[in-house]
Amino acid sequence: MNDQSWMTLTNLSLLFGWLAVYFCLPKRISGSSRLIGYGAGCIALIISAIQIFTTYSFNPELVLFCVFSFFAIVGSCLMIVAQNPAHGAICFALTITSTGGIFLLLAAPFVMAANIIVYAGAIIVTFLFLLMLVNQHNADLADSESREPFLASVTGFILMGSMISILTASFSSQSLPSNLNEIELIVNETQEALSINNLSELKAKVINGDNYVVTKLKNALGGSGIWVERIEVDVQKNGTLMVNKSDDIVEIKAALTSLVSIGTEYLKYRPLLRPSIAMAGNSGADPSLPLGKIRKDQSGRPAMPADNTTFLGKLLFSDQLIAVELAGLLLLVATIGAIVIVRQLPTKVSS
Amino acid sequence: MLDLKIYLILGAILFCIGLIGFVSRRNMITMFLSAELMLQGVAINFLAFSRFRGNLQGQSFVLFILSVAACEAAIALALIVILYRAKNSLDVSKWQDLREEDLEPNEDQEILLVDSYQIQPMPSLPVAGHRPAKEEDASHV
Repeated sequence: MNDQSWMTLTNLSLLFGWLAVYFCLPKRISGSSRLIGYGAGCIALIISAIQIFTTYSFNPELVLFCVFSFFAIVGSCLMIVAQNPAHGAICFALTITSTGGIFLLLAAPFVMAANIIVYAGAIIVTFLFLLMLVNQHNADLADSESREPFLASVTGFILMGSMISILTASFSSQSLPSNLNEIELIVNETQEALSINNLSELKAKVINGDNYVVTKLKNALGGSGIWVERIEVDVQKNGTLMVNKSDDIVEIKAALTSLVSIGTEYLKYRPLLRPSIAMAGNSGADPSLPLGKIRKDQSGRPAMPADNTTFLGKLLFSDQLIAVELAGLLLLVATIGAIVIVRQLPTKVSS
Repeated sequence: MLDLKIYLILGAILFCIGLIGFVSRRNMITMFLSAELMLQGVAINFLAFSRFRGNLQGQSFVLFILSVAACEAAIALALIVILYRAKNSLDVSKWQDLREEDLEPNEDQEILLVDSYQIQPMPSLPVAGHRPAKEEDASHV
């Protein structure tokens, strides 16, 4: 599926999703609008499933991802539209457990366990306890009516749509990492050529009959994300410049220099991944390595350590020791704060 | 073979659903759970980047998010309990007194006043941005 039809289907499912959330949010006069909302939600989920199954090849990971994300999204939608906050809390627990499945797919078993224990275990139980303590009357007006459901859902879905379209645009070239290496090669080659002062030699090295460097750079930039397009236009311009003025060595060198700057501008997205301080190596692959040089597993993704918990513990207690201590301090302070806040001050007895 | 994009999209969807819930619901507990949902979306993002970079630092970051969320839950629970004690309701709209001085009250105010079960007197909070008047018993919450 190409990006165009992917975005069309995404917009369609976002529209139905918005209808679902808008019609399901509690309103003063609801009537049968919840049924419309459920229908729209089903349509949105079906469209998304079609989208995913036509884009990716069928394998167990895909099926697991679809099941877990289905329960996560449905659970979260039911949570925000639940009229009874206790039902909302249960739906939130459903969301948390299915998010745990997603965490497992992302090779994070320890985080999955911690997440389920903390959220589904502690927070949900505490909140259900609080709900039972607090909600002794009938349904509150606050639960049967939401504030500005139209504006809220429109805002949320516009944000969602823009995030998804940006993600789609910037991930559309699958070959981005290898391209970066290729472009670096071309840039280095061009820079070497800049030191040649003989016209024919330079043309032989750079132009070579069919506009050699420009074509290579254009091909390397070929998979176009949004921010690549502008650079491609620049390459086009400089390419024609070189063809027209190919007898003038100064012009050729100027064009080459601008090509080098274009390539360097493209390459500047890579050093963002490089931290200035080297880590101790407990966290897996060195973040400063280019993505092409990381050891891959069979599925072509970076290899992760099999004993996740061991490595996570090593990382936490070596590189991030201070942060761990601070987190412990934060927990202590929060405990004391919670006790102080809920403590009822003894009321003054006036007698 | 799934790629990074699809996991990021899932995180974005969960985040936005949590956002909608946070701004539109009026029950304090539902609002709190929506905020936690947004944190879940962020955690999926971190783990996805960690997985597709072959580096564990994203996972350790999620652990810190978890501990901060636990603190937040404790404090939020305490605050919700005292707010409930004050107004005898979990409705955030009952705290409209805290709005800016020149803002109109929310339109559902009159309905609230009709239906609300009346309430023991509690310390009244001043309008934001002004020095409280010094009269009567200046008690604090």
